[in-house]
Amino acid sequence: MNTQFKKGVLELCVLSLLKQGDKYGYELADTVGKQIDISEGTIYPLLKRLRAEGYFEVYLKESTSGPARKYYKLTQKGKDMQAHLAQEWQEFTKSVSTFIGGDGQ
Amino acid sequence: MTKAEFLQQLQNHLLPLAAADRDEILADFEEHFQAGLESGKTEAQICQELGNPYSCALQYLRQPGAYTVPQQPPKPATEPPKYNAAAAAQKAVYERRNHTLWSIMFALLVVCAFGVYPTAVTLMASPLIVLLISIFAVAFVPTAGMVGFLVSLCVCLFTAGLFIFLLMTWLLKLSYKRAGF
Repeated sequence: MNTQFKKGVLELCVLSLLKQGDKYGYELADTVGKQIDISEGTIYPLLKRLRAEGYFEVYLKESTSGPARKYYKLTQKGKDMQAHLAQEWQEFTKSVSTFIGGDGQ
Repeated sequence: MTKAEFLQQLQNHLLPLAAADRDEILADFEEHFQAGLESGKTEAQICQELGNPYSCALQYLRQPGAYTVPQQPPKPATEPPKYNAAAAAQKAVYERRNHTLWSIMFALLVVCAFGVYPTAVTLMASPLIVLLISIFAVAFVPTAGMVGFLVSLCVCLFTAGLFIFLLMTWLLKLSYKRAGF
């Protein structure tokens, strides 16, 4: 799969994962990494950017073992963005699949 | 690759960022390693999954505003530059006015110099004439008072000439410099 293509949907994947509940960096990277063949290291720059853009905020929470972990929590703006991107994605894949199926005219 | 190697390389590539940003990013990766090790992975395995430290760093460096953080600290002080700009403009006006004044001054001094320098040179040379006269003067009035008078006259004339010469030169130089030709 094309790298640029994957990077584009990564944002939607991360936002969608966080919609299910707050998660820490490793959880996000590991979950996405298992499903999509990307370098997990690319998740962190994305998290930083999305946070800077106000899609989520972070807080520290003590872990059962070791030091506190940084948790990511979706903001309202993030939820709106997730809904927007999810809709776009669905429309897009629907259009593309008409071509793939060969019945698009 | 080990955790230490990965973090070291990442840190090196992130050097253009502000220290606070860099530390935060490294802490994120540190945490990732910590969590990965807890879940039973090896350092090499985690590095493998993370990918190339350089491409990670590159994504941080490419982010919009990645460099604004180190550049910001001098920027928030917007007032001093504004004040400086106004002050600089004011200063430029004064300087221009000063240059004009000094140019006029210089021109006047050059004109004066035609009179002043010959005078100064004459004054400095005049002790020679006094010396000639003094030969006769001492011959007619051979007193210690006369000799003393002539010697002090020579010294005074020479000093006055030298003083005028130096003063004129100094003024010319000063006005030439200030006029900024």
